[in-house]
Amino acid sequence: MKILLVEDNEMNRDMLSRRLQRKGYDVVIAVDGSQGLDVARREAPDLILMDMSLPVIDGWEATRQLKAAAETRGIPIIALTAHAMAGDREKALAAGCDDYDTKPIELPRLLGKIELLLPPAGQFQPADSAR
Amino acid sequence: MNAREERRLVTALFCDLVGFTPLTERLDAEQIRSIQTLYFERMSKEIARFGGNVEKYMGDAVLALFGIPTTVGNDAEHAVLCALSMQEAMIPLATEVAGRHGVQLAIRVGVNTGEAVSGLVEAGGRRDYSVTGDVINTAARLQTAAEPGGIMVGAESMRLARKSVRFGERRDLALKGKAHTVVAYQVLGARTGGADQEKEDRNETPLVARDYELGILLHAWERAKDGEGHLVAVMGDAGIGKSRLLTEATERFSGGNSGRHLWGRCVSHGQGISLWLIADLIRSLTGTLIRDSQATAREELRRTVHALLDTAADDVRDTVTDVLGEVLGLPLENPSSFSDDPQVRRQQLIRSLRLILIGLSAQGPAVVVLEDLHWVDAASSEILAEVLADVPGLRLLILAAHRPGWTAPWAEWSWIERLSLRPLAQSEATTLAQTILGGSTLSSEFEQYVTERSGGNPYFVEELLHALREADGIAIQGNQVQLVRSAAEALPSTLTEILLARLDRLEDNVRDLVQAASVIGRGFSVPLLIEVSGWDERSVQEALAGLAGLDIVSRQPGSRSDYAFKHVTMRDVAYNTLLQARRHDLHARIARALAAANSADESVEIIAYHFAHSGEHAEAAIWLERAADHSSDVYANETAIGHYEEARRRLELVGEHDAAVRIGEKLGGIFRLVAWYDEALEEFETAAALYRRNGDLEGEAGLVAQIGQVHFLRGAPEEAIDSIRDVVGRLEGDVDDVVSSPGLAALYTALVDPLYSLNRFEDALTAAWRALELARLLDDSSLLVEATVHYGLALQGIGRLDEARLVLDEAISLAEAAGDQASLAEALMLSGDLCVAEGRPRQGAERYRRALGISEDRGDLSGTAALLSRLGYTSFILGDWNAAREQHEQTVELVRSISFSYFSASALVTLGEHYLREGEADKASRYLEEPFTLAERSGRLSQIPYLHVPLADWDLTQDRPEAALNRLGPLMAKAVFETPLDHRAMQIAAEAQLLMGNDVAAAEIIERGMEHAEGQGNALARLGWLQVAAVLAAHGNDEEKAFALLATALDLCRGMPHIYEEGRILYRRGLLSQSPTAREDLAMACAIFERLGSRPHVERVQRELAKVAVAQ
Repeated sequence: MKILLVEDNEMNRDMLSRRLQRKGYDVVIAVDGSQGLDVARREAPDLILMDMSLPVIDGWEATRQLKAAAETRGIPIIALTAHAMAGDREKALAAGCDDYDTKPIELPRLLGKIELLLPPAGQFQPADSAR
Repeated sequence: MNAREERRLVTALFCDLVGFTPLTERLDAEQIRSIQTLYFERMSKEIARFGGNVEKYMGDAVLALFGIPTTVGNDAEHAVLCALSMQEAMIPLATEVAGRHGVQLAIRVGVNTGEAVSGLVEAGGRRDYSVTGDVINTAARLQTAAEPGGIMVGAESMRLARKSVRFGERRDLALKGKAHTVVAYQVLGARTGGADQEKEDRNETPLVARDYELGILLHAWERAKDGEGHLVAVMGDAGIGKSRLLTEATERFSGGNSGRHLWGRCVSHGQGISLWLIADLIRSLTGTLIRDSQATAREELRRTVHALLDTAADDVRDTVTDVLGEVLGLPLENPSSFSDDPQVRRQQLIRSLRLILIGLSAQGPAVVVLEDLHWVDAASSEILAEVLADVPGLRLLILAAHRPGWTAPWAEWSWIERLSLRPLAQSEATTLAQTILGGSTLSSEFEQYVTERSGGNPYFVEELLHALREADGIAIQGNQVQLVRSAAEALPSTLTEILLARLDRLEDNVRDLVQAASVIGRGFSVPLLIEVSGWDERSVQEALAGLAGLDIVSRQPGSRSDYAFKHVTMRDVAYNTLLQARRHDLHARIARALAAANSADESVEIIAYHFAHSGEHAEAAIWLERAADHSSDVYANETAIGHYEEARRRLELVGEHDAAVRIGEKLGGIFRLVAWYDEALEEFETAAALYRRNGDLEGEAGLVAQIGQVHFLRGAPEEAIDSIRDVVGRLEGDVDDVVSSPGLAALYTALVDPLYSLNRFEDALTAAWRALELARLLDDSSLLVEATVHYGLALQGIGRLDEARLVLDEAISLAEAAGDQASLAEALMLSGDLCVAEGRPRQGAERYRRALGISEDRGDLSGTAALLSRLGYTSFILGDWNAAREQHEQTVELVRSISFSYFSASALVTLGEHYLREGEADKASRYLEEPFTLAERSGRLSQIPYLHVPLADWDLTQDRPEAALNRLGPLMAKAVFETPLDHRAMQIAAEAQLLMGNDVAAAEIIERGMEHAEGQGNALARLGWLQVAAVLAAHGNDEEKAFALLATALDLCRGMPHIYEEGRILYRRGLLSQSPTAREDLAMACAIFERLGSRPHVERVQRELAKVAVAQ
């Protein structure tokens, strides 16, 4: 199961990727919005964790583009934001995000959201073992 | 074998014969032997006469010691006088040898005083003293430097003898076997005048605080003049001023002229010489000296007797002359009138002296001074008791001076008067010292040194000053005399000699007890002394009562110690006599007794002190560490540092290197607190290396967390992050969601501050949260408190003020519950920041003040500086600019004393900005440039854009929008709206854009800013945005909207209150051309700025007011 983490904050990126890997996920990484688009197209992840305040192209715009393109439209996206601005959640959903979470990441909560959005585990078992 | 050893002040005299070797070639053994015997006999006789002991004969040399086994208090003086006497005694012998054998025989003498170890050795029924110490070798070497017939003495001996001996210039001798040159003086001769000479010397010392005693003496003199003779006994310790008082009194009696008085002075070496005092009185009567020839002495005696007994028959006068002459050792003129019966001769002497006194009285009132009677010889004492019984009927005043402990033969007489001289009070001793030093005022440290060490003894005051002067221990600063501490440690040997003499008069076992007590300290309790001495209680109590009677100790009712040495110097002298080994042993015993008897908390420092002075390093280290922990708990940081360092040294001595490193860890913590960052880093890094070597990753992590904190505090956040991240990586591998690690929690906590200071708020949030997660898993209260505080900080950084407030409130109660003062202060400070941002500056100030109290108590310098700076900000907001200025100035002063504080640069800028607002441009410029170099030098480049914010603000108020925009370039590119400073920067940028006509760009910034400020609940930021929005509206000619926005802002800031912003808002409203309240607004703004003391703002407002007046 492959997750793309688009995150510019180094500490957050390191920690989240490490913890997701320990949970058995394959994690690929991008450090800004434009790189996020490239990696999403190339790696076809099963899910994207998208920070909203990104350099170059921000998370809102990257999400819009991913949801607009046929090849990436089906990938579920969870928006991550550190700012608890009123309306951020609605704004994220409007941009096409499938779910939304606030930093700091509480891992069990995030894992719950991830599980909900991913297809049933068994289906992807062969791909996993081929890795 | 039993040995009783001591360290003590000893004077050694070394005498050697020159010219003897050629003689041995010429004479046979028998002749040589007889000359040698004669020489040794004469020398030994002189040595014995002056109270010395012959220690050894070596070939033709003699070594004699003075002050051993007991001292009389002026042994060095005796030794030098003895040397002179020996030279004199050699003259007849040398003359004889020269005449008979044609060889010039002479002696050279060396005298030296210093500390030596002396031991009484009892072996095979014999008691012997052995003395070891460099003092003896040096005496021998000094002897070789003397001329034949000459005497060379060391510096200490010179000091002690200079009252009665004349010396040549100081000489620095390079002596064989000595690494350094030795200071030496050649003896020129004895001072001639005896008592009179001494009178001159002593007059140099001012007489202080003896008016009462002088009054009594003057009164007694008046009565004596009327024929009512009197005896006043003056009693007091050595140096207390007996002689000085008597000199002063006799001068007053005679109105400054040399009146009619006799001086008889006893000397310690005269105790064994029959009728010494009577002889001295006769010499005084006749005005002759010991060294005068017999013919002169005889002639003067006859003249005096004839003059005094002018009405007596010739044969009476002749007999009296003969009787008195015999006392002086003069040959008899009429041997026939002399009886062989000693009883008869004694009666003759008594009768003669009576006649003399009667004769003296008949010719006018006279004074007889008897000094140092405690050294009187037995025969003189008996005679005096008889003769002085006549005094009440004569015009005579007898003044008899002695030390306590001597019983006078007239003790039972009812008509005499007794005066006891007490030590000077503290203020009197100070006056005396001042007078001696020429009237300058003394620093309190100096005053305390002199009064405490002298114990109110005037001679001690004088000697202390003398010794200080010689050691360059006196410095004059301004008009005040200051003590140079380094020079003030050694005790002048003059004092040591006197005090040692008092100790020497004690029984051996009582002396042991005094020594044991001296190790306990100046004050000591009876139970402890019993425990340490091994004596039973009754013996101890009895001995102490006796010592109290001798004024050596005194009872201390109502204090922790039962007794104390009356004189701190006495304690020091007793302590100094102890050999190192015995000192160590006693200290260890005291420490153990204290540790067994007391709860350790109370006495830990005293126990540590005693162990530290024992040879038991391991125990010393344990107690020193406890004492240090104790000091550190009460934030006595300097003391703690001293104890830890000593504990570590002891551990190193016993090879406990790991334990020593563990102490270093604690030391590092204190160094960090007191902002010695380099030292802290060194300690922490050493400790971290040890953990690494031992493969203790957890221990290493804890230290690296501290290292990170120090890097952050010294202004190097990147280094902090780098050093921490490496260990985080290694630890994270071992940790999962159920297994935690305290080290890892500490590391994440330590990451928050540096990340925050680099504006990496999201990362700071991540780190703080992770720390919190780990701490919760561990259920460790101290880690939890720290993590919570930092989580609050991170939330604040990201602009989530509501959440931050809740978290910080929780942190405050957690810290209070855990008693964690450091975290409490931190949480209060952050919580105060929130209050300020939310528009509640008063509450903010309250929290800052509470936190400041804690930080000051802890001695936390960087924390104190941070809080002072914040208090300065709230003072500014609340309109108390005087307080604000003072607080900012204090902050700057403090950060300058810290090796490098993470916010030094911003503290300087803030003060500079304050001066700008007050119109002090010159002062301001001093603080506005330096921070940039400071930040650059420290590599804190990310801070630089923020340093420009206050300056950009100022550019704006001075109508320089372009300059402001230039300054804000980097921050505008980032366009973040998180911290209050971010908001402020963007507000300035927006207004500058407006002033330059870029309304669209400005509108965009304003919209985003307002949105963030409202979302964050940042009232302070909102206040700024409302104003910029109003300026935008006014630009679009919507003055109504502008007016409304400003009215909202005005309400908001009056609610805080924020006085300065109120003035700014009123000013802005006054600029609206359509405003009905323009004039009133400007007038109010002017009043506010005047009250605040902001000249530049007042001038601006006044210009606008003038325009309004013209328009109307």
